[in-house]
Order: sequence, then structure tokens, then C-alpha cells
Amino acid sequence: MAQIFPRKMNETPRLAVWGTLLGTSFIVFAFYWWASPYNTDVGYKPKQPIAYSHALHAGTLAMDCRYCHAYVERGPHAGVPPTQVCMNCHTQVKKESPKLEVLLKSWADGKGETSVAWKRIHKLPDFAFFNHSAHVGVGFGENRAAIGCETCHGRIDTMEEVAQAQPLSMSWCLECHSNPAPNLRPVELVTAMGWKADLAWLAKAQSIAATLHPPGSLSGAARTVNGKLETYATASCSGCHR
Amino acid sequence: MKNNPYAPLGEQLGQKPEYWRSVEHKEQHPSVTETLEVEFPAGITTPEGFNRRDALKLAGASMALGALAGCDALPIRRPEEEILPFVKQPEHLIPGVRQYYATAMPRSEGALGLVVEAHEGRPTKIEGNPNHPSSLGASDIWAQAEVLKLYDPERAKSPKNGGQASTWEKWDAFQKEQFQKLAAAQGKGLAFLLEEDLGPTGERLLKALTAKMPEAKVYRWDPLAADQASMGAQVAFGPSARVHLDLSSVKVVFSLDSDFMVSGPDHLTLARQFGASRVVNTHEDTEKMKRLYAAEAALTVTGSNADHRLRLASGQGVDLLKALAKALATSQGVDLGELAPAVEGASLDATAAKFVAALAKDLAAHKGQALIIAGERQPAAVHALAFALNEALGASGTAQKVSLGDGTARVAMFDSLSQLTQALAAGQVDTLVMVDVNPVYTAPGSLKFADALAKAKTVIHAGVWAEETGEKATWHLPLAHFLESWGDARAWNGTASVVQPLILPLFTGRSIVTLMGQLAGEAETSDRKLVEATWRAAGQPLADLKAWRRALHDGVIKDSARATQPGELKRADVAAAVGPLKGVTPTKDALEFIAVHGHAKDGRLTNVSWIMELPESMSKLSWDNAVLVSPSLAKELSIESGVRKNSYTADVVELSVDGRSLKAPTFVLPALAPTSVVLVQGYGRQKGEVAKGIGVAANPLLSNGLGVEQKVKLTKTGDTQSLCSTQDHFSVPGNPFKELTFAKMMSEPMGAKERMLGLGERPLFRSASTTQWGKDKEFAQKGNVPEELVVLGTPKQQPAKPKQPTDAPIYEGQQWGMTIDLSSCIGCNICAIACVAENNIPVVGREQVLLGREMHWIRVDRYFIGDVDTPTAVHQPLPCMHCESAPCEPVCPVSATTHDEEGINAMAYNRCIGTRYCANNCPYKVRRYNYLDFTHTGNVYVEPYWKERMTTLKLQRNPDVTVRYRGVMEKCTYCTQRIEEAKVVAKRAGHDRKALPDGAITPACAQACPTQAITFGNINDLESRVSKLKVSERNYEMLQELNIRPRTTYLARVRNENGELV
Repeated sequence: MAQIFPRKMNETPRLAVWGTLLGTSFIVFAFYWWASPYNTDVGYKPKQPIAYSHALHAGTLAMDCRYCHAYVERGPHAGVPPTQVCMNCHTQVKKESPKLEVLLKSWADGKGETSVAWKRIHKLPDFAFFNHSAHVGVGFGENRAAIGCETCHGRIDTMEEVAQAQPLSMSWCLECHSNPAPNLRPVELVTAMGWKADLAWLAKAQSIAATLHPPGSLSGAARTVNGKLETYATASCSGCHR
Repeated sequence: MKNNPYAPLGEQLGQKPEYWRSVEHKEQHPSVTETLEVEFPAGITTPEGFNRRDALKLAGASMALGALAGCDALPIRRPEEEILPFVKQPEHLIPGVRQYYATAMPRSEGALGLVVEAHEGRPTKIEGNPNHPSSLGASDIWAQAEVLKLYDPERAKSPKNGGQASTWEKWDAFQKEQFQKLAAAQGKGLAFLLEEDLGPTGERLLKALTAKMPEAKVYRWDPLAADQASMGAQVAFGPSARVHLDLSSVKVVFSLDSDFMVSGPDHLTLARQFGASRVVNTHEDTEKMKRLYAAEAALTVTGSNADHRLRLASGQGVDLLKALAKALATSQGVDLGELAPAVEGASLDATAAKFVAALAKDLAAHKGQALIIAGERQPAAVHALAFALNEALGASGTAQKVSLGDGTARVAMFDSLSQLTQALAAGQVDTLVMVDVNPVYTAPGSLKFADALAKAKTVIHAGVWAEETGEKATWHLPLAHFLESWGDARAWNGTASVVQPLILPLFTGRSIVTLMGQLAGEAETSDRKLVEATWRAAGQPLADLKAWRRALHDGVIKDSARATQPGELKRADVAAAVGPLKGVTPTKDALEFIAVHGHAKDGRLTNVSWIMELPESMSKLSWDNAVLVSPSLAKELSIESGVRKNSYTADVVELSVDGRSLKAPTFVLPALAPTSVVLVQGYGRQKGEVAKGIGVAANPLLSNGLGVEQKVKLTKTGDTQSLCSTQDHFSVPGNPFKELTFAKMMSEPMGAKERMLGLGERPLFRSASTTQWGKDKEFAQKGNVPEELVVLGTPKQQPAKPKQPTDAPIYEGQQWGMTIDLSSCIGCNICAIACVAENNIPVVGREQVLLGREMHWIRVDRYFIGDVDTPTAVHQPLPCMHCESAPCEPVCPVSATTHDEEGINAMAYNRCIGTRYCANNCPYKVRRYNYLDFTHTGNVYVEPYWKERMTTLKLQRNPDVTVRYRGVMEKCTYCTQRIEEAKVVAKRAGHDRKALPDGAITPACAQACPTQAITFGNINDLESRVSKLKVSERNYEMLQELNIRPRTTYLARVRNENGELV
């Protein structure tokens, strides 16, 4: 009886195995990288209604972040400035600039019903509760420190248009919550851009970070989890998921 | 049954439960005992027209649809979202930070001071105002429900003329013309139907109007007013007198047909005072306990708290009080003076006579510390007699104070409404203005109000909803909700509060003050200006801007209470009123019908879905009302009504009297008076998407203002109907330790630990009388398994340290815990509704409740103790216990529920995949599963009907709590959002978030509780309130034998019994 399949078909199972392996790793990679916020969200830069330059305002003019994002120390949201805040200067400065058309229109209607419709860049899912004020001042007493704006938002002072700098994913959050020391800085430097810690601060940051741990983790020292030394600054679910 | 090795041991031993939830449970009916064994009583009623096959079909279809949707656009990049900042930021408004405003809720029984929480300008949660004398920081179900009522999408959106949508401009034009004509006729033909009190400004404007139109008539109707109490006070102390009760110094209270702890004037204050005395941490404290006697026909919440309760028809109330007066006078030497002859001739049966004798002795023994409170189902004369007896018992000036008003005589509500009906029928009323009343529904049936109303030429009805009356009106005007309007209101003790709005009217409504101002011909249309004109005019208390601001901030106007005095009793008038009054003894052929106010009140809350779903405190009926009958009456009349496979099947009966009748299903409720039948009011509405079609209205049968009807005939119709009662839902077996079979147990040598584990009673609810406690200090621990078997060597107030294989857990810092005091808990159910409001708990609807899918995170279990006819009832609030070694945690395949470092058994909703293993493993049955998209948030599809309704209803939601979607498990979180908020506040202020002061966090249930029965705090801090309670002798763990170490523990109930009646 003649053979049904030609000899070259002998390669098929081998190819199938390789194909499956490659295919699977491709799919795994696709989900691990392409669908992850590292790829999808970092660099997100929607077109804003006003060509507002953070590089000019925060960089060149060196305005403090909190001049506009005034609620960062008082509430969960840092706050996008109301038109009124812009008009504090722009009633005097660059009144005629065509770039300010949207802003002036919002101000001119008088009823206060036309907001400037900014596009949201940094967004967490509805089930994650983030509070700015809990991050710009951590610890108490002499162990007070802050997480700087720059840590999560990047070098805003160099961005013409703001883009998302960090993935804001849960694993990214937990990186810092497991080991906050490298991201701590003196409270008065919370809005500073491009700040680098010196060795003295790094040592202090270590000791501050130790006080941030939940009491369960051996009063500030690190604890061993699965043979790995880890520290935690409140990393239980209920901190962010309610 | 004997052969089933998995059956609870008690059952195998033939034990009947000591604490039982329903007659079926007591008698161990298989329909109930079977549900004890399962996680949810699911599969007990099958949803109609939908089975597993359909579910699979739909699943297939939805997968196909999902694939299609996927092809369209892979949602890798999220949709663009906008941020819309203010143009001008309002002062003090920080996005994401809640704000609180003090306001007051106007009520006929006296205003309730509130503090309302708002998020970005929308009110989301109502709390009591600690500064307010009627609230003291607590709130009630009515207050909690108002925030959802505010957002009801069915509220009137524009004025209506003849049923057609109209505009305010047209109304203004009409009003001007009509009232000019009326003014020309001195107001002849104009009549008003109003609530008891419109508040100082409303009444001021009304006075101005009646001065201008002296012929105009004002009638009053409000079924919730303290009508009989006010009329009784008028008899006893003169026109417009008002009696103020105070339990703080009282030791013996007798409640005659009264539910003073959950309704009526100052009920929150009275409940607080009563509850405070029941918190006893050592046996010595029992000296301060108040003793409560109750005689009532319906089983009320107050009655369930009584140490001694007598089943007594409402019609016999007068006999009982007369007999009591006589007993006080003859055997206890209390001087009644002129009253003595008037209280002769009352006859009582032996049980009642024994009760009266013991009560009289106890009251007389506590002269100066005794008080009698009569309820709204007793006529005014009985109230007057009660006031007179209180005076004779030395309560004047302390427990009973009197304030005299302006001296104008008050007309009883029912008389006032009858007069109006007569005037209407006689054609004397040309224009009738009704403000915030709904008499077409609430008027007693004998008046035939709706027929009379048709005779008025012009009917103007203003209401938050159109309701039944608005439908029949020529003009219906939408009123602004009190959270949307300026106004003012007085508490029962006269303390005035300014009602300040939290939001602009959502649906163009106008406030009562604006409306009254317009009718009175005021040029001013701003409600704020009108209120200011009352209070800020020269010489008025708030003329100073600072004083005005202070009043707004505090929520009360200082020194505005009515002046009180001991009162000058008009004994002769009381004797004349009560003398001729004779009691009525109902029989099974001439029954007594009682209409009581439940959660829905007189129907004003029926369209609030929270209220419909909240089970009634005693019958546990949800989404239904029924004629409650006593077990003995049911037997005598062979009424079949009971649990059949957990859906309650009930015979439908017809009640008739004097040609009026109603048909309703029956529900057997133990502890009712044998020949009285009870129906909860507020149901059977014709209007409202939520309300209509639910239950039966009680009003058609009524013919008086008491809500009591005598000589009612009951006939069976032959129909049956299913009822929705949660009384057997989520019931926990009394002794779930089922590792050993009975046979194996008996083979163990006596005294063996295994034997001790399996046998013996371990009641879920534990209670003792003061004497029993004196004899047995360990009564609350009775039945606990030996400590070495369960407690792993930790002090009692510390959380246990279970040995876990991986980690050595360390309990340092803040460890949250809770105690629930069963002694001071009165069972009012406010905790359940406060939790719903705070935690975005969805309403599931009647069909789903029938399936046992209600979502309440804290349920209040009601147990009966004793025989079926005369049991006592107790209440046990049951939230998640936050067990130390929680059985739910290890079974979760995705670690969606885990412990946090402060001991909370947390739920990460976004992680939950809905296996329901956790709920299956929870011995307390406190986990709730979103079987369907109950919140109507659907990320794929929401029915257009719900989309429409949710546009306003969703504004109530608390943005600090995740809104859960279908397929997610949820449960009590100890209000973790409030804990996190407190930590952030501490952090912001530079304090240690790991050492919050005691009292910094109050969960919603504890905040609303009128008796402060729930205490929350850090159990690692030995000085915290909760730690101090946890070392009490009364502290016990429910299901301690399971060694799961719940963080919520109970304080056993203590009864203060009178030895003579035991």
C-alpha cells in the first residue's frame, strides 16, 4: 500500500512543537508587555485644549507646582487649576495670545459654566483609591519626609506637553511600597525637579523608611519573606482597595 | 433523621432550639433545618422562567457577542477622559474631600437635627447632629432614607395643571389672579390642609395670610404627629400644653401600647437614656438598670425590649391603666385625689391582674423614679390619665415636664380632617391648598376623602412627589426637598434649627417657605431671605450676623427651647375625660385591627427602595406587608401561613368592618395579642415605580385617628400568596460542630474533650437575668469549649495568634475590633440602613430577596425565646466578625480576601472572581454575593429603564467606596474607608497614623446607633473603650468552639426582671 503522507511530512510534529512553543511565548510576551501599562500608558500624551507648556511655567518660570495644583497637600486630588488661577496672571500677561483663546472664552462667559476641558492623563481604575496628600507628607515628627512630584510624574519641568511618565500599575506602586527609601526626600523639596539625594540623606531615608512599616514587620527592621529581605510601607489591600 | 450523621447534634438529641427565629424553626420543620446546612438558602425558590439550560444558552450567546465586540476595537488604550475644573473655585470646596453641613429635618413629631455629608456638592449621607436635643448624634431610619428620596427620579419635575405639564410662570399668573379674587372675598372658600407645624417662618407667613383673609380655614393632617399625646396633654395641662419625657432619672418605665424608642417625640433621646442604663459591665452595675414593662397588642421594638411584656388588646388599654391606677391608690397608698372615682370598674383577666399588681408595687416602690408612657394607639384620655399617674408617682418636674405654648387650643388631627371633609362635601371649599400631605392615600377610609375632594373647584397640592393626592389636584406643584431648601423647624422641646440646603433644587421645586410666602402675598421669593426675615429682623435672636452663622454651623439656635415647668394638673378634667371611657375586649369573631407604622411610616417612604428592602424589625417581612396574626388565632381560624421551602406561603384573608374591607395575606407572628391582628401601614400605593403594587393599604379599614378598629370580621378567601420574609435567611446552626457523629460522641468516655466539644448547648445569643448573673458570673461563657482547646495563650482582649505555617504573625500597633452590646441594642435596624447608605449596598428587589440574595452587610437577627404564644424577642445585629483565623481566607483561590496588618479581613473586589467559596465557608453567613448587576453599573449593558433611573439615584453613592459589579463577593469592612480617611487626616497633620486616638473612627452602624450599642476601636490599646468592654464578664464570642477568633464579640444581654413576675 502506498504511503498516504510523503516523507517530508515527518517534519510536521517537530514543526508543530516549535510552532506551539514560539506561539505561546509570543502570546505570553504580547500580554506581558504589549498589554501592560508599561507599554500602553507610559508616554500617553493626549492633545490638550490649550497648548500649555509645563516646561515654560514650571521650568523656565520655576513656578511651584502647588501654585496651580493647590490641593495636593489637602486632599486626594492635586486638582487642576480653575480658570481663575490662570487669570491671576493672564489678565496682565500675554492677553492677546491666540493660544489663550479657550482660556479667555472660559473666563469671558461670566457665568462660570464653561470649564476648560483638559484631557486626563493620569488615571487609576475606580477600585483603586489614591490620595495625593498621603504621599506628599509621610511619617511624623523628625521622621517626616515626602514623595516628590517628580517620582511619579517625571521631569514635568522639561515637558512641553505633559506625558505619563510612569505606568501607574499595581506592581509599580508596590515597588515603592516595598522599599520606599530611594524615593523619599525632604518635605521642603517635594516639588523640586531633578533633585538627587546625597549620602547623608540616603542613610536618613533608610531610617525614616523603617518607621513607615506596619508594626507587624519587626518594628522598622526589614522582615524576611520567602528568604528575601523586604520592607513594607503599608502594603495591605485595604490601604487602596475599599 | 436519626440516621443522618451530618445533622446537627441538637437535632439528633431531640433538642428544640432555645432561641428560635420562626415557629417553623422552633418546631424544627425540615424546610428550615435543611437551610441551616447550606451557605445561602439558594435553590429554595427557583427564579421563574429561567433555568440552568437558559443560563447556558445565554452564556454561549454572550461569548459570541463578546467576540464580536472584541473585533470592533481592542480596548488597549483607554478612552479619553476630561477633567473639568471650576472656572471660579468655590471657597472651602476641595475635590475629593467631604464636607459636612448642619441642617434639620422638619417633622411633625419635632424636628431632628442632622449633619449631612456632601461630596462635591451632592449630599450622600445623613447623620444625627450631636448638638441637637432630639438626636444627640444618632439618627433613625427615616432620616437615613431621606437622602435617597432626594434623588428619586420620580419626583415631580414641573408644575402640573390638570394632569398636564405646565410651568412656574403659568402657576404664578394663575395664583395671582386666584388669590386676588380670594382676598377680595376675605378668603371665603379658601381652605388649607397642612402638616402639624410648618416651622416658625412657614407659620409666620400663614398667620400673615390668615390675617389678610380671615375667612380662610386652616386644617391639619399628619398621621405621624404625636396627636393623642398632644391632645392628652391639652386635657391634663390646658390648651397647647406639651409634655416632655426624660428617662435619665427613671428606674421603672411602663410602656402602654407605645413604641417610644423608635417613633414619636424624642424617641432617639429616650432610646439613648434607656440603652445607657442597660450597659452593665459588672454585676454591681445592674443597680442602675432601668426596668421596662410593656403592655401592647402589636409586637413593637419597644415591647421586645421589655423585661415584662403583657399581651393586651389596644382596646383594653384604658382598662389596664384604670386598674393600675386603682391598684396604686388602694394597695400602694398613692394619692389620686379627684381621680379615684374615675378609675373604678375596670375588669381584667388573671394574667393582666397579676401583671398590674406587680407593676403597681414596683412603680410605687420607685416613686419619683417611675414613668408611664402611653402610645399613639391609646386615646387622648388615656394619655391624660398616664400624665396624671406620673404626677401622682412624683415624676413632675423631673421625668415629666410640661411646657405651655401660646394657649390656642389644638384640634385633633382626625377631627380636623373630618371637618375639612364635611366642608368639602357641603361645597363650602372653593380652593383647597394642600402642602406636603397626601390625604387621598393616608385618610382613614371611613371619611371617603377622595370623593369629597372631587367637590372642590380648585385643588392645589404641593409635594415632593405627585403622589395620589397630586394626581387628583388641579395644580400639582413640586416642592423642594428639605435638603434643597431654606427653612426652619422646631424640635419637640422647642429648640429651633435653621434648615439649610446642601444642593440647589434638582427638579425645579420650590421650598415650602417660598410657596407660603407667595400665597401670603410676599414680594420676596427667596426662601433664604424669608427665613432671615424671621430670625434676623431687629430684636430677633439671630439679628447679629455672627449669631446667625453660629446657628447655621451648630445646627441649633441657642436658648430657643420652650420653657418647662412641673405643670399644673387639671385632675377634674382628666377624671371627666377618662371616667366614661370603657375598654373593649376583642374576641375571635370580633377582632381588633391595628394599623402600625413600620419603616415606611405613613407611606412617605414607600417609594424609597432601601426602606422596602429593609426587613421589618419584628416580622422580618421585606417588600411585603401582611396581616399579622398570633399563632393561637391562626390555629383557631385554621389559617395556614408558614415557611414552605423557605418561601413563605400564606392564606389570604378578608377583613371587614362596617362595610369597609381589605384583602391581605396573613403572617403568623408570635407574641401578638391573641385576638388582635396587625397591619403595617404605608403599603398598597398606587403611585411610584418602587411602591406601587406592593402590599396592602391599611387606611381603607380605619375610621379614627388611633389606627385601631374594633369588631373586625376575618374571613378566609381561599387564596394563597407567597410572602417575602427574611426571618429564616442566613440562619446559623446553634452548634455547628459536626465533626463527630452522635454515636461516636456517646462512645467517648464521659468528660472527654471530644465529647465536650460535640455536646452541650452553645447558644448564639446569650442572656441572663440580673439574678441569674449574680448566681453565675460566667453565664456568658456557658457552653464555651475548654480554653486550652481554642485560645492559644493570649490575654482575652488581645487577638489570638493562630499558628500559621509560613509566617509568625505579629500583632502590634493598631488592631481593630468591635463589641456589640446585646443588652443595649434595641433592635431598631438603623445600623442596617446606615450601612446601606455608607457602603453603596445595592437593593436587589423582592424576587431576589425571595432567593435569599439580599445584600445587607449587617443584618439584625430576631430570635424568640419561650413558648409560641408569649415569647420574648431579642435582637442580634450580625456583621462580618473579622475572624482572626478567618475560614473565608484560605479557601479563596485568588487571595481576594486577606488580612491586613491591622486585623481587618479585607476584600479586594477587583481581585474577586466569584467562586463563592468564601461565603460557603463562612460560619456566620455574612458574605454577600452580587449575583446580578444589582448596582446597574454594567460595563457592557444596562437596561434603558435602569439607566434612566440611575441618572439621579447614582448621585447618592459614596465615592470613597467601590461600587461593586456583578460576580463580586462583598461584606462588612469595618468601614475601612473611614479608617483610611482617619489615617490620612492624621498623616496630613503630621501625627502618627499608627496611633490614632480612640474614637477617631466610627463605623456607620455605630454612628447611627441611638443606644451606642456598637463600639469600635483598637483592641491592642488597653485604655480604649472597646478593650474595656471586651474584658467584661458579659463578653462572648459567637461560635467560639470553631476557634476562628472573631474580632467582633458580643456582650450578653442582661434582663432586669421583677422577681414577682418570673
